[in-house]
Amino acid sequence: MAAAAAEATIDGGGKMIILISADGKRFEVTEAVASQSQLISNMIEDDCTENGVRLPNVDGDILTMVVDYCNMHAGDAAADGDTTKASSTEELKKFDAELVQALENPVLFKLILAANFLNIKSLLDMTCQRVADMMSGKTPEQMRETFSIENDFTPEEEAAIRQENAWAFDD
Amino acid sequence: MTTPLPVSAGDASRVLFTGIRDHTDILIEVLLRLPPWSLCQLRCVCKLWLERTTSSTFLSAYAERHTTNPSNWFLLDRTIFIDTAPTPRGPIRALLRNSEPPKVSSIITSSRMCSIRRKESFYDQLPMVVSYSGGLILLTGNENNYYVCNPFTGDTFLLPVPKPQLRNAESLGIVARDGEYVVAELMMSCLRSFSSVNGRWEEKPLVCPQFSRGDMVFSSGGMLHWVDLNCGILSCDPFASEPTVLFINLPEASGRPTRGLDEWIHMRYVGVSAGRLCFFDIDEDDGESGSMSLWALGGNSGEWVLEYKVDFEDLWEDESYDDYSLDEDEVPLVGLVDPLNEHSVYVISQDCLFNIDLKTKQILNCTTQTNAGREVGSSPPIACVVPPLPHLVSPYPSCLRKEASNSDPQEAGSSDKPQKSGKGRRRKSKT
Repeated sequence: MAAAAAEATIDGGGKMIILISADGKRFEVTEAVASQSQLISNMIEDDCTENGVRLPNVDGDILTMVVDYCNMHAGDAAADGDTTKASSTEELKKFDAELVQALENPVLFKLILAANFLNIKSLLDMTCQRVADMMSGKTPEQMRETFSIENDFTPEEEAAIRQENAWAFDD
Repeated sequence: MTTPLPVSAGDASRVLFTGIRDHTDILIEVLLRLPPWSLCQLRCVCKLWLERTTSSTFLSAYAERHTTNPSNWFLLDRTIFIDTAPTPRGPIRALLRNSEPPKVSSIITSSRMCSIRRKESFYDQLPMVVSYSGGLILLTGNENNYYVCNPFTGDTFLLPVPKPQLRNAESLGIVARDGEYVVAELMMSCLRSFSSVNGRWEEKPLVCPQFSRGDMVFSSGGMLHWVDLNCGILSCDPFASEPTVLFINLPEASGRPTRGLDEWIHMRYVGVSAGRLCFFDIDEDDGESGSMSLWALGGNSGEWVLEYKVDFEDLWEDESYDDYSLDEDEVPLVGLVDPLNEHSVYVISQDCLFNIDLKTKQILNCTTQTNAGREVGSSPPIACVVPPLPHLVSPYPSCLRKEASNSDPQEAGSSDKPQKSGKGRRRKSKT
């Protein structure tokens, strides 16, 4: 049964799937595009995409971005052996970099949530890396402020941890 | 459309950061992507983060991600800085004072590592860094003593002295692999090595006919490489019980020393960058002002490929040159190659370390002093790539590790730290 379903996925690359956002917007995408999401890929295998896929956690604006991203990257997996692949990989990298750089923080967060919910590994990787880049270089104090976290160490405890990790503190 | 993120988080940023803070799965995904420096710093943000970043699940996921994709490195001064402040009791320790490249980092140790009694010959006795591999440093103290240390924790192990004594630091190297290490000296017909697995020195027969001398030693991919800058690289796996050698000729570069064979070290450099062996060469007789070339050992063909060649003239013409006082009449000396980007190289001129981008032909930076205040001088620092979990690399031979972690006098005082409860500490890693 599983084998048959997998075969259908490959053969039916052109088959269309409807994605429905939280606010009722509809997006029509190919199976190949949609199955970059592990969640949807599983649904396709289980044959339950017939009446469209409702995504109550993702609103229309974010889903637009996700669909754009998936459309850009759909060739990624499919285009093996394509001679133009090297240059298109460069272009993709540029597209990704520009996309993630341009995001405002609340949008970035929503996109991370969507990537996590839909389980799109490459998108999750890219967006989480963006946040990690924003964090790196911050001192513990700045991190606490940024994340609104209260320091629950005693001064002695904090000094001990700092000493243990002394090499990481650039002086 | 967007404005750059201010450090102090406004409302918009708060949505992102507090959102991530409260979403454990995503927080972990983000933390896994931080470089080792930042990861260590955020351990003192709060108890919950400390716990999360030191759990064994987290640490093994982190190690897996960063082993294939190292993100941090530092430039290490070969001369070790001696802190003359009164030494605390307990074992000798050598700690890294870290600064990000192009700044030059230093190892700080106490005066106990060099002999006080022989102060008159103090300058001959300065402890030096001999070799670095995967989070471990081989250094020499006084009177032919050699230490293996983890500069991130300060843990230091004094190597037993072999008989006959070790010849010279130039032919010694250290290589770390899978939680163990080997210190090895290349001799005429054998490899003399100390393995952390059994904790003793042994000699293994080795045939290396083409090799005359070792100008430099470095490690990569669990192998040790001895370089004769005049002809080639001798590589061997010192972990093997019967090591065999692989010899790679250097490319036909034109630069030749004019002031004797000792000058090779100032004109050529061999190292690893972005996973490839690379050869950096300065030819002072090429063209009007000399040139520098960077070669990398290519993928499929297995041959040296000339990746970049830059005439110093081109560099003088670039406007980045206006910011730095390089002397146009003096051809710089070879420094090193950035271990993560092969187009970023370092050269030395007038006791300054210049960082040059071979791709854009620009001078990026200039460093005159190490972060311990020592002049950079004419000896280039060592390029050290930080392993994913630097705290867990042990300098103690595995047969001694259990013993060493139980008998440490300083350990008791700090044992109530929250870390202690973490199961992530596979090996000894003390404060």
